[in-house]
Amino acid sequence: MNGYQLVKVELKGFRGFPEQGGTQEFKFDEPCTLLLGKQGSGKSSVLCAVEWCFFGDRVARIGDTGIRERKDWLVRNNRSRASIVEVTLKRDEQVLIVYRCNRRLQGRPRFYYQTDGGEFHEDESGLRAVLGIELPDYMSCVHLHQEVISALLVETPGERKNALDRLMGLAPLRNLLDGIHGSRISEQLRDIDNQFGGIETQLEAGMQVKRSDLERATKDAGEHGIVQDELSLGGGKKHIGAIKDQIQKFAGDYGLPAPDLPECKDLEDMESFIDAATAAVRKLRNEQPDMAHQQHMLRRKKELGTLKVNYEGKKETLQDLRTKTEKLTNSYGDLPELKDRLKKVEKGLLPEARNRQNEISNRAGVIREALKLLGSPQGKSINRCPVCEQTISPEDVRRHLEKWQEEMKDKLASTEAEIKKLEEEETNLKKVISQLRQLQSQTQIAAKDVSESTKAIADALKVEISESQDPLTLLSKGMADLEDELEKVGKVVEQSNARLNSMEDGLADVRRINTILRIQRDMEELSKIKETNEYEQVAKARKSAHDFADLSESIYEAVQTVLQRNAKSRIASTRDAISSIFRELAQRSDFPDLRIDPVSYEVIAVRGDKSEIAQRFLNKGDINCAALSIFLALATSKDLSHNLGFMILDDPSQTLDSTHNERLAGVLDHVLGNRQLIIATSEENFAKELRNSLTKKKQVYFMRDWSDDTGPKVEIE
Amino acid sequence: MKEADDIVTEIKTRVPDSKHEEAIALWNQVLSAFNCQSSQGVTNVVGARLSKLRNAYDDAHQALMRKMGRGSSKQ
Repeated sequence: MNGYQLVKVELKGFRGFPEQGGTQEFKFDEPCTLLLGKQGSGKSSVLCAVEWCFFGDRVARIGDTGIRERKDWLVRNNRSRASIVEVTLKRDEQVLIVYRCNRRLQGRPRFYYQTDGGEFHEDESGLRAVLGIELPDYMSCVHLHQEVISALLVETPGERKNALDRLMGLAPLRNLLDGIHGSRISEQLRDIDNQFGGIETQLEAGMQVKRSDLERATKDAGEHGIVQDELSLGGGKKHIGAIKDQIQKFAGDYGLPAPDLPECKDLEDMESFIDAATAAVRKLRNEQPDMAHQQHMLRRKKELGTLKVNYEGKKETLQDLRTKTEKLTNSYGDLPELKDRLKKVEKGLLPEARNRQNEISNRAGVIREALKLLGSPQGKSINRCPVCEQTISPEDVRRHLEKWQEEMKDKLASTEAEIKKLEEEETNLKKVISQLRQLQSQTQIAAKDVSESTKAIADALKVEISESQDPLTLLSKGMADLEDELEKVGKVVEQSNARLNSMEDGLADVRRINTILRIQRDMEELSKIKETNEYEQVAKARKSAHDFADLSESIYEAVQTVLQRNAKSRIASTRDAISSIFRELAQRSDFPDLRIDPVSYEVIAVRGDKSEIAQRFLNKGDINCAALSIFLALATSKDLSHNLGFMILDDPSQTLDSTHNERLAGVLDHVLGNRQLIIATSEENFAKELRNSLTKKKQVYFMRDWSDDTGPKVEIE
Repeated sequence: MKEADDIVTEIKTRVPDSKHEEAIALWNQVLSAFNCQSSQGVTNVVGARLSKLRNAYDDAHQALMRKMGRGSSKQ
């Protein structure tokens, strides 16, 4: 039975074919179809459309194809809403239609295949079963991508290895291994092991800290008179018993309720006892009657002291005011006298002086006018007195008036000086009166304050204080009595405090013993840490990580083994064919043969017993021949059987010269037998050789003038 | 992946019988991740499992460290 042959490919909105350009149809009626056109004219889009139609979006993923150019590879034409591809195949008389669209359109499934017009099958794996091929093998022996050839030409070992993987159909296994390797299991495991190994060191460091702590605590205990025998739970209990007795007796002596103290059986109880007993001693100290009495008297002493300071302050203020008043009175007289004098100045002396001043001024004015008249031409002719009609001498009158005028001036100056003095006295009197009134008011307030302080002292001393008694003397006496009493109580309190201090000292010793016992206990626990549940959990968690790493490693090795086995198998089954095709294509006299090393995974050029790594000396054309040889050998291998009767070569002649092109056309003609052949090329020479050398019947599509809006113009020769 | 069965066979030869089920479960998880997200998916799945185990170890280690350091703060 022959394999499926391509009959028709219809595409719209796929990569270089925008939907505005309508559905583009390519028919494959002849054994050989040539797609000719410049780079970017849409040839590869036609070929990739078949691949996408069969295998879906997996063809756009690097992990599945191993082609780096497939990163961010868009299936849909970026000016189109949907990508639709329909491929029609025929095998003998059976017609197979495969349909794929990136979205659901008009109720049609996004993917289906149909045999002889039958029902739609939507399972992807079903189609792969019908075709008898998976994506990796499709890419290694049906569709030769130009990227695979160009990658093999790259000299980086990793790139070459990946290219060989793709040619051999092993890229997915290689990618899976990379995925496991990428999780960095060994690094994490190493980190865990290092941390686990460090536990011992930390244990020793912890023990060292405890030893130092114990040494320090033991020294401290020794300095406080605790002997070695007491550094035990028994020793601690003995101290606790004595402290308990002291506390109970103290409470009894002072009629206080006996504190409830916990029993001490172990180390934890000892800590509880220390806390409870410390609180009990503090309580006894606060509640013992002598202490309370002492506190009361101290408060009273403070209170009396405050009263004394207060009284002294008030008294001093009053005295100060009185002194100031007396000083003013001595200088200016008392308030009634000052008021009388002010009245006399304001109502009598000042008005009187001002009247006199006015009178003098008036007289002076008349004299001034008379002199003015006498000095005028009219005045010089006056010889009679206008009052008594007696004959007068104007000159005598003028002299007489001038004499008067001088007398008036003297009187006026004297009166003005008098008025000024009286005004100053008036101002001064007002000021002093105001000061005296203010002092009078302040003195009243201060006297009231003193009276209140005196009352407060009387209340505090609980006595009546008459006017004749000095409150300060009474207060001082009261304070002296208080001091005597305080001294007596202080002695009693000192004695009870000594007992309480002794209890606290005892508790401090118990705390020292407890500290030592706790350190000893911690050291014992540290020495047995590996027997604890916590240590067991760490060891268990580490083992779980190791177990997981072992499982992952087993999976990694299993995948690697299968990958190597498949590689070896494919290399072995195609070894002769690769060499044969290479010999015919490259025709090198120095190293005519080619093989792939199954161990180093290198492409090796061979001549008899001699062999060299191909990339070291083969030119790009020869390496391209090597890639084609491997692909054609795998494509025609009987071990790699599938149900596809066509082969796709995308730009296989890159870097080949005209001689190679001619040989390639010849090789294709006889190596492929009755396989249908679809070749895309942008090289005119190669196209010419194919037309001339390929004996198969050919159908030629020309693709040109590609545009964003409509895609390429497609013409059939 | 058509090699899946061969890989399972190889895994079984590498792990003890008692671990077969666990190993196959992990392999299926890896394969599923690979089918969805390729190698990065595998890295994520294995990394997540490992990270969980690492966290469990760290927690246990911290608990042990706390136990080892107990008491020193009450001096």
